[in-house]
Amino acid sequence: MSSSTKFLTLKTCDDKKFVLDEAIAVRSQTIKNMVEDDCVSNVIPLPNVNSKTMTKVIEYWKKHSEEGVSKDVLMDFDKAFVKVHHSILHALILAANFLNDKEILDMMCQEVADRIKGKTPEEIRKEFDIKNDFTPEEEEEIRKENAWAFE
Amino acid sequence: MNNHCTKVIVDENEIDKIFDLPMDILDEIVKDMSFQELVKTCVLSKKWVHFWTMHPILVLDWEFFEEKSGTIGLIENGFSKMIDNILLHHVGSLVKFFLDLSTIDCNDRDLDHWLLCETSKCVKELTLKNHKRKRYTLAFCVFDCPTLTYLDVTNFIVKPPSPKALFPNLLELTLKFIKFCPDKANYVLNTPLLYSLTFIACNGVHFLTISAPRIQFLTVHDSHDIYAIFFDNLSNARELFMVLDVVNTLSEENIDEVTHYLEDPNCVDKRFEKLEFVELREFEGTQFELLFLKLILAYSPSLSRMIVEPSDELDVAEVLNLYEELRMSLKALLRAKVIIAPHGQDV
Repeated sequence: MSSSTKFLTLKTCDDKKFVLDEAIAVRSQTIKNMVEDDCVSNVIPLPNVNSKTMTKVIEYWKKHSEEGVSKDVLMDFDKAFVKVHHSILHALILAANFLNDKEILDMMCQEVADRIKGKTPEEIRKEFDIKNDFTPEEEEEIRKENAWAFE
Repeated sequence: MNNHCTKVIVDENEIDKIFDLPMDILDEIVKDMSFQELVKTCVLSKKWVHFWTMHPILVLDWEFFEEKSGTIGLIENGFSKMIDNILLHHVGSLVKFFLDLSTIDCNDRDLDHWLLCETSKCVKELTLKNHKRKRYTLAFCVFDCPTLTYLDVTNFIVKPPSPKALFPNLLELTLKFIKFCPDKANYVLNTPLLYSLTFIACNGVHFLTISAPRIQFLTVHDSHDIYAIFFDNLSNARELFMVLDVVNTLSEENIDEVTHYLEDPNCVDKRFEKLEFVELREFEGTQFELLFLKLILAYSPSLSRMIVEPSDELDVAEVLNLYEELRMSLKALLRAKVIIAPHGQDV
């Protein structure tokens, strides 16, 4: 690494600090804007992201910034990256939204969409731990109202 | 790391977290979902009941109606009632409305009613497809819809409502198999912001003058009775893509007009000042086509690239003749690069 490499310190909401090459951190448009507007002091606070999620984001950024990494390797990496519990998907979507990283955001939204696609309502509830808070009568009523969608 | 943030996440595990995402992200997640799948989310939980009714994209396409037609014993007008129902339930604004009427039975009144409903919901992108025999007349409310930026209409009759129609914010307009029937000739269609215009197999275009000062991309395919004057108000186009059966019909009937156009000193006013790229397809080398080609070359000072694709009906000898003829007529033109591409070859 050349001596001109600049490092940024990111601080997550749980007060954990991450020191990161600026060239990698600017994959986040939010951080990039801060750097460009010259409003970066010593530490960039990330009040909406926790350390567990940030670790995942940085893992993604580093892999995708590796020199000479092949497309196949990245594809395998991405495939494994999205295979996580839906609560982590949820956290990653919010983090990517806050950090304004469209690449991660799109990938995660696609993963959620893929997990919904072709499933029955019961299967979707199971996939995302959605609690069915209808009474059987209420559910029947809703199904009747939109009968054309369920036939 | 037992601290505030992680604790919150653990606590929230029990509830419907996915629905807690911001609305624009949820819309992004379901944007490619079929309408059928989208509506089914209403029984997931109470939070989801009205989700589909607020989603800003409504795509009622061929697949949707095809799937439906096999399931319910739809009585006559069943689809009309279904669409009524869907639009009645939908609340909030609509970004995109796509409706394919090809396989459903509805009348003009139903359709007018739906379009009135959609245009009042600030729709931005409107696509209307219709591949059946019956042609509908495009509702007046579409013309002055102030929010419309994208309009793609297939197989309709277009009777513009007033002597001067206005698409105030329209950026892209695609018209396929359209029959224009204005009440009077020289009908002016005002599209102050339009940058992309496509005509495919349209009829009665000669009744129409399109005023589009910001036009950049112009595509004309198989639309007969386009006169030279059609281009007058489109002189700001940067790219022109044409399939030349247009010119042949145009010129057989109007050869004098085209020649006059060429010789008229006022032509200078009507130059394609900004035209940089032209693609002409199905070039047969008739004298009309060559005349048209020369017209474009003569009045397009910014032209830098032109692609001419010979018609696939020509045999090898004819194509070679054509090359020679084009070479001779283009000799003096060094500023523009003219590429003669064999049929079907991408350049």
